[in-house]
This record gives sequence, structure tokens and C-alpha cells, in this order.
Amino acid sequence: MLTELEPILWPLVTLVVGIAGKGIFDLITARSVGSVAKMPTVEQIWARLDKVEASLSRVTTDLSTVRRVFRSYVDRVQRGGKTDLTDDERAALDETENHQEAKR
Amino acid sequence: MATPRWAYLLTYGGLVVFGIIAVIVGVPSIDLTTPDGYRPIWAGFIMVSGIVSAVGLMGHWHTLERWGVLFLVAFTSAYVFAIAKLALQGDAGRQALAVILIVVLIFPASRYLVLVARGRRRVLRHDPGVTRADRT
Repeated sequence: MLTELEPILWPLVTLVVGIAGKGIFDLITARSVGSVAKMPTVEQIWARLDKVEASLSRVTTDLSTVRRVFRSYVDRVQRGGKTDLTDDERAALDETENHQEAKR
Repeated sequence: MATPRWAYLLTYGGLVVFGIIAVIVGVPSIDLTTPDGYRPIWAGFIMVSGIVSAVGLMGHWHTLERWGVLFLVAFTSAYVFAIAKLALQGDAGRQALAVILIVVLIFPASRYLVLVARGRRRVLRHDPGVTRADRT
């Protein structure tokens, strides 16, 4: 049935699919299109706050882990240990790059 | 995490240039599959939506860029559909399959771009702890 359409309609089909896709995505994520058009319920607002809090606390945990790994690295080197990075230290270093990127 | 902005800008600019070339030189695949006089309109939509997308990207106007990109994809993919129609003349089932595949492949393709931009980075999956680093 799709191929029965005239070629002129192809862009229109893509436009409709794209707009419908955004509509479905908005419905799934319950994102308010405008504060008047779709006001979240009180439960939804609390759920959002919980989500934000969870992701923030995850970042904080990551950060303290990274900091502890670097401290132990410095301790080891000061005590005359190897300067080569272990796998964990490498991962910690990469973690800082990820956060740097997210800052934009 | 995010695909570099210059890559997007390059793509939008390239498609604007493509629209200009389509008006001046012509696109045989579009001429063969669409009525007379459609190609300049089609190329015009590509040019305008490419410029709109670039402006939205530069100004951080995401809604504007979203609409521009949607029109850009819609009109540029018409070229792909035209080629598919010419290549599979009369074979409606295969043509439908080609169109469906293009739509489905959008997600792996965008995921690929995100992973390319992210690079080869390790993630801390566990808490290494202090004692473990002390022992080494």
C-alpha cells in the first residue's frame, strides 16, 4: 500500500511518521507539551523529583569513587609504587572525561 | 556522549549545496519519477530546511532545528525512495521492504554516531575501594 502512493507524497509520509513519532515519544515520557496543554499530576511531579535526585546521587557517588581512586593512586606513587595506571584507575580517568563532555 | 556540532553543521551545509546543485544541474532520478516542475520545489524545500536546521543548531533553538531536520530528512529521503522505485520498477513488495528498512535503520545509525562520538571509554562498574589500590 505504501508503494501505491505517488512520489510527491513520500516527503509527506516521512513528515507524518516523524510528527507521530514525536507525539508517541511525548506520550511515553509524559512530557508536558505546554504547561497548560498537559499539566503533570502531583504524583508525576514527585516521581520526577525522585528521578532527578537518583541521577544526581549516582553522579555524586561516581565522583567520590573517582576521587578515592585518584587519592589511592597518589598514595601508591608517593610510597614508591608503579606509576602505571591500573584498570580501575583508567576507568576512573575515563569517567572524568565523560562528565567533562556532558558539561558541554 | 554527544555527536560533535560541526558534523551536523557540515551535513546541513552539504545538503543545502546539494539542493543548489539539484536546481542547476538536475536530478534524473527525481525527474523520471515525479511530474514536471516538481524538482525545483523539492530542491527548494531541501535548501530552506537545511538553512533552518543550521540556524537552529547555531542558535540553540532546538524546536526550530527539529522542524528543519524533519523536513530535511523527509525531502532528502524522497530521493532515496525515487532511486528505490527506479531500481525495483514494478516490484512493489521489495520497494516497501526497502522503505521499511530505511526507517528501521535510523535507530542503529544514530546509535552508531553516538558511540563513535563517545569513543572507547571504560566505565567504572564496581567500587574499587581503597584497599585494593593499596595492595598494588
